[in-house]
Amino acid sequence: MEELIKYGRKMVVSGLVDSHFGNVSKRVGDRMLISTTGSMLDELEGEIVSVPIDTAIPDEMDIIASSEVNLHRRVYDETSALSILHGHSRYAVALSMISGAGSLIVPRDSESLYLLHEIPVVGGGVGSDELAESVASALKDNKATIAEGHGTFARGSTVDEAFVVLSSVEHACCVKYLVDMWKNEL
Amino acid sequence: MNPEDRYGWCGRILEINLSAGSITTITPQSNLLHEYLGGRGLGARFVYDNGVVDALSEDNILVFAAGPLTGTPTPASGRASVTTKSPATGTIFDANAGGKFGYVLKKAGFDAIVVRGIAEMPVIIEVENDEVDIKDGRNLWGINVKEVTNILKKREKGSFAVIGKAGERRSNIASIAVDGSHYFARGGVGAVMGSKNLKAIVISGSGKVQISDKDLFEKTRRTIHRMLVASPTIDKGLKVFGTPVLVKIAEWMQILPVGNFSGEAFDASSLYGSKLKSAHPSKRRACPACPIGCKREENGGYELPEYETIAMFGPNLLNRDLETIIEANRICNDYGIDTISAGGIIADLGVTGSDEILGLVKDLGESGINSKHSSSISVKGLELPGYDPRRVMGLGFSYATSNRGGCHTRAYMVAPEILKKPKAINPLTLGGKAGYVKVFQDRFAAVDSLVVCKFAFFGVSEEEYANILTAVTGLEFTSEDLMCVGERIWNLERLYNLREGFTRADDTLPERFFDGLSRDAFEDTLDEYYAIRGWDDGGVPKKDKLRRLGLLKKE
Repeated sequence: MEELIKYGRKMVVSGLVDSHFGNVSKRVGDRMLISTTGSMLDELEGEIVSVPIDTAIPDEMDIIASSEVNLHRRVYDETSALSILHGHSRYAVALSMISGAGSLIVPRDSESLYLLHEIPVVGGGVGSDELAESVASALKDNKATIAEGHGTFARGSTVDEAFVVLSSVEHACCVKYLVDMWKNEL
Repeated sequence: MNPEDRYGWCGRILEINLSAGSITTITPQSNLLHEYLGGRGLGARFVYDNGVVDALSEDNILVFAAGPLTGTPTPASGRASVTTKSPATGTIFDANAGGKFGYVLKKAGFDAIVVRGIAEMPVIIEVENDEVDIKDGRNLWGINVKEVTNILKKREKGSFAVIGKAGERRSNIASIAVDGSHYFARGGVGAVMGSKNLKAIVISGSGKVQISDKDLFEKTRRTIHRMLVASPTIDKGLKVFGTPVLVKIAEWMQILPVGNFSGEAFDASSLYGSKLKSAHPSKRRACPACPIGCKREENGGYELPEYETIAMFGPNLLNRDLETIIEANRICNDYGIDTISAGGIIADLGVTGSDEILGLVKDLGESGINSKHSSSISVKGLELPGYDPRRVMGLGFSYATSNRGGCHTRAYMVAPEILKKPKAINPLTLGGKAGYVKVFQDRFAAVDSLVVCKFAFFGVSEEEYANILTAVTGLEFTSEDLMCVGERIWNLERLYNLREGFTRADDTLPERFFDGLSRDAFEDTLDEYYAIRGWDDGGVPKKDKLRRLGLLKKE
């Protein structure tokens, strides 16, 4: 729980997201810890709940868990990820809208290209089953994906690793946006 | 009927004087309906205008009222209210219930029934469209809720509002049961009905509520329906578990009322909504026009306890036995007593064993006027519901400033502070709560006057209901108009209570809570709240505020 509190705060402090824009989770066996709906990522003390990963087990805490709790479930169910960080990072959101769902964003900077290879952009309404399916599918082969017009979902084996991926996606999108602008390629 | 009130409203109010045995139909002035809407607002206006009376005297009135949306397919509009002077609190008091009563009242062609006086012997009122009778009810006197409802159902059609033995004996925790499974629960409204020798009201009707703009209505209805079923609080919570979904969340937040609000920790895992669901398979029940369906009914027709009942008969009594709570709920409902107050009173007696609890519940049902315990944890004489105000401070502040005493539904801060809707706010501070509570109090005063279920507001806002009110009535209503109606009602209720002698000193919480809450912060918040309301330091509305709300001339 302390890790989620720590990295939630780092997401805001490092400018990856504004306070409300995102959610964080960590898998613990057949359950996960996840931030509550509407919580501020830099003030997650007392705002993390535990829910089962199996959707067949209805749990009372679901109604105050992040509204994207089922997306997190789907990713944990279909991948080996142990942590998911989601943030509405500005450049990632902008570039996803320019590129559109179904496209691949290929980083221009070497570090991001090395770490991420490419970043798929997926579609689907916020909180929808379609988005959950798209994100889970994308994260089987990639460390991160961007929901068009919404934000980045980054996976990791630890919360720290997911944070590195989330940061890298925003860095990659920022650099690509600036370079593409300069080259009139947008 | 006034021509401009032919849509939404029926434009007719039934007035029955049991002392005189008279039955009249009155046509309310249009501004009364437009400024107070219906339900709680209409009731507040009638009860205020009725003057200073003793709650159990023939001078007190009972106003059963529906709203302009009741009887239409507006989602979550299947409710009604009853307003009176409460024998429990001495305040103006409206209780709100689901069931078919409001729906059928409108089909019978009335916006409200005002009951005055006292009948010489037990009676029932029967309404079938324009035919209204006061009938001998002596053969039903002394019979509890389930049985009397079943008797009436066998011989009459429609909807039934009845009292059990507790109401007959004028217990000030007596409720009025609707259709045997919904309750005007709080404030001793059943005692007022009992004091009038009125055992039951039976209503049936065949009319139809007219809608002004059917296309706009259908479009808005679909929008509201879609938003309601998409709300996680409703879809994953109330639909799956009913209100007991809150038990686990309240335990997690450490806001359960434990040991008569002693502030202790409590393992409530045996009482979770999921436990109740698996141990007692039940049918989901909904009020008319409601897509939520929050009630649960077991085979045999007995309703399972709501969150409040579980909280008050569970952790509040240090009781982990779910079966005891289910049985206590059944007994309370059959006698017609308020489960929240019953749990609060029994906790005050320090009772925790199952047999003792159930024995005392029966005693409360059988006892009369003095069933209330003066030292129970209350605000303005009304026992607090199942949320400890030490850790959910806006809700606590709303208890203190409530016009009907210790009640969670006046501002319904459960939504933002516990369920994080429409926006999550920090429950562990009083900072900012003065304004929040004021806005929510006004909002739900309007909602109670439409009359719409508060649970709808987990998914929608007053904007959607202003739109559908416009579609139904043909009169232009904005969200701000609804907020203004709510503020008018809130101030009128305040004027009533001030006239009864309530002061700033009554806008407080029981002393025990100030071990966790700062007294200074509380008083500062109260100052801020009064200032935001346009009231003076003593909590009296200023003339400018009353003038703006159209209340000055009435004063």
